[in-house]
Amino acid sequence: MAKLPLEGIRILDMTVVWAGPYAGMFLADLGAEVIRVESLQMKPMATRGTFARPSKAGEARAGNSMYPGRNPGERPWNRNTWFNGSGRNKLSMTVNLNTPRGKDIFRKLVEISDGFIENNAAGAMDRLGIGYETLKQWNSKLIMASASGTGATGPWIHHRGWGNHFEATYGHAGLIGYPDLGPDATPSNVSTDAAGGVGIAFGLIMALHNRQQTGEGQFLDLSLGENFLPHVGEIFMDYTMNGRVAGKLGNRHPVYVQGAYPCMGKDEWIAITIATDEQWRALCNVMKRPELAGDERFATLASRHQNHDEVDEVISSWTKENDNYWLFYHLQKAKVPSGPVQWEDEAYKCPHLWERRFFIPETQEDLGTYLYPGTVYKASKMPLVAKRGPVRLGEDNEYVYKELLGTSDEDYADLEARGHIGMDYAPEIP
Amino acid sequence: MAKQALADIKVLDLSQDIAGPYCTKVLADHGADVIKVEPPAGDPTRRLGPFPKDEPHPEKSGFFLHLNTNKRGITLDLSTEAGQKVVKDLVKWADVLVESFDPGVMAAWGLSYDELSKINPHLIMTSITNFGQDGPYRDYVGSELTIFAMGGKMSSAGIPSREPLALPGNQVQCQAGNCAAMALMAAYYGRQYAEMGGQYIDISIYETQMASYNSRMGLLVQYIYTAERALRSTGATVGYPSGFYPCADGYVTIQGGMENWRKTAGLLGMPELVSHPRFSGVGQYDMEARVEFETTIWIPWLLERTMLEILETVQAAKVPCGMLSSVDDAVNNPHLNARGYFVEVEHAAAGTFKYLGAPFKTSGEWWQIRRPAPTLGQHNDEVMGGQLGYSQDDLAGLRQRSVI
Repeated sequence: MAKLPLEGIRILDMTVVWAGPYAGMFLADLGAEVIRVESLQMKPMATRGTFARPSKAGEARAGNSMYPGRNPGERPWNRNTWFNGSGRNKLSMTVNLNTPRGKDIFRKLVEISDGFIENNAAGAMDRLGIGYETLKQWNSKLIMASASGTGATGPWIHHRGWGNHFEATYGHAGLIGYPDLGPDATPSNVSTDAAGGVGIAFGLIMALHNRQQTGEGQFLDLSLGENFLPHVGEIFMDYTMNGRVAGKLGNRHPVYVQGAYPCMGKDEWIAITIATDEQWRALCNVMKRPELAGDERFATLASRHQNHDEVDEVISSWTKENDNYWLFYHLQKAKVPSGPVQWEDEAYKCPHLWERRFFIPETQEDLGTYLYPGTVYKASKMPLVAKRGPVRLGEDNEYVYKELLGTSDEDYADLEARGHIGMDYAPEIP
Repeated sequence: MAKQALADIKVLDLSQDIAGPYCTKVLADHGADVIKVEPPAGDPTRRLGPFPKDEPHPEKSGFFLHLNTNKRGITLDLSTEAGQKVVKDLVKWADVLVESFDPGVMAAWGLSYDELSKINPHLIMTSITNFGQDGPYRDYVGSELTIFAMGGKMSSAGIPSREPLALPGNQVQCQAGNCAAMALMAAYYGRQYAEMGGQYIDISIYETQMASYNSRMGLLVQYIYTAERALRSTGATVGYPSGFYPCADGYVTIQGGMENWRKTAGLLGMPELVSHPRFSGVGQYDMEARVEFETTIWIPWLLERTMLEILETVQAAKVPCGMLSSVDDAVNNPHLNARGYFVEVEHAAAGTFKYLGAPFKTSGEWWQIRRPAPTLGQHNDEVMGGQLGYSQDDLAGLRQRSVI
């Protein structure tokens, strides 16, 4: 098979939850050997499941289950939705880093690796004795990327939280929601994680490039909040230029009319944006209401925006009598920006995604084969191939210990006996 | 100035609006030499606000100024042969080309990847469009809202009795630009160090959402594993306190239940809560007990304190917490300011304002604002005259024919 850009690059991975593993996925898809360094004694929060051993009864009762067929199975940590979405193409080894021997093993790995990615709470790696100051003594050319809500420096680095807490503190959550309802109706959102995964991968590759040019390693300090805010930059510029504090717009736009309109069936919607007079006229034709095109209330950008509630009334009285995909095709023929709000099953049936081969089959021993979402680019020389499905805990212990580190069979057996090496979380982990 | 990591990368940027310019902003801010090509009437973003004092002016759009830091700017009418010739000349110089025209437009202008890679086989070309370069939706029209509705996690966002909710601003387009920058960086690395030569990258904004870890990817896998949709819920989960609560001057969001219950008890100075008959243990699953705890103990405690006080107190107790900041709160955030996140940028026409800073920090100071966004056609002479060697007569002719 033709080469991928990061072949020959080895990256150690102690990422958790969403943003970090997402970055690891991109790097692995691009050819890097991404080795997850995991522990059998310590299961990180919300990684490979909320619990190592969720109860089958609990999964049966839950609103949604994170396991195939609502069945955690024998090794639930290999069957979890959120881990598996980004779990392909990676390797996994296990070691107990809370022992001197474990730290020594990690040191040997650092010496033969190019990069190290982690998104634990700020300072966590220092507390484990494997912060950048230490690692760069072991390997001066190492590139370490640390991502956390707060970043690695500053008065709040002791702050803990999930994506949604930082989304609130950094000003994003306050921009989302129904204008007429309180924040408890605001959906939980982690744009910072999606942006962060991409940002970590970008930063790491940039640092590899810099290392080729200068021979130097680097430490990347990524705050998920700081990385994301440029995505809502115009909202911040309105504050820095005019002192204006933006509020929630719901689905509305400051200039155009738009919204999610209810359609035939249960909880089916279509999103429509009218950005020009031409699009309004086209919409009126599709609705078979040509008289509305010239209606004073709706004739211009400004007047439509001013009469937004009435516009919504007109549109929804039409959409609710029709199927959202039927509306979509007819509106698109008339060049009106529109799109159905797609449920997961509808996404899986999307003819466009099928033709573009967006979904890819991935196979794993504790699961079998399923179709998974692919990736964010289609590149002529970087095709997405799932060389392996979502990585199982400790799946590559033999390869990493024996082939990469030259561990003897005796030492390997001893490490197994002492709980470093295995494929199951320690029995006391719930 | 310290050498920036991408100082060796040359980018020809034909993109307009938001996604393409965001991609090239990421590259330019890290040192790339980006030549931004606008039509003679200017990138449409120049006509989008915010404007200082709300007075529209094509050189003062805050949105344009933010998206186009560090780029040199020229104007070209790409529908003309003369304009296309300038592009072809610049392609010899460029490592990377970014464009965001509707699929087929570049080909109609003789500027497809097939054509341009003949001129420069090492060129890495990226096209960013709503749905990508092929497929049944290829020519469909979209907006930030409609692409998110189709691609992103919208069906499960909001409450059951109301419409599903989109995300604010233009972040879908920015994230697409972010993804393009990452893919480009990989392709460039492959070209430089893995002998991969040039290549073509097709970015579909729709697919950058469909493969997003802002929950969409996980929920798709959840569906494939369980055949169940993720429905909108009212948000009350097990364990309390959890979620948004009012306080003296706003709202906070806290995860104080379940494994954090003990710490919450300590925070409240009420150790008896740890094994409280009604609120602890199994009581954490009891919705009525939740209401009682929140109304009689929790919210009264919060209402006596400001967001900042609560944030600092609760975090000191190691309980996850955030404050519902407005943009105002975020810009004045002590942590962000201690990290030097905001930067002042001076622009000849618009003036000096505070801008958002580096997405991440390195010891090498790879992120810098070397220059503000360009004025329209600011670098026409420098690029076409100086770099390409066009004479003053050539340039005058192009101006006369409205090519530049």
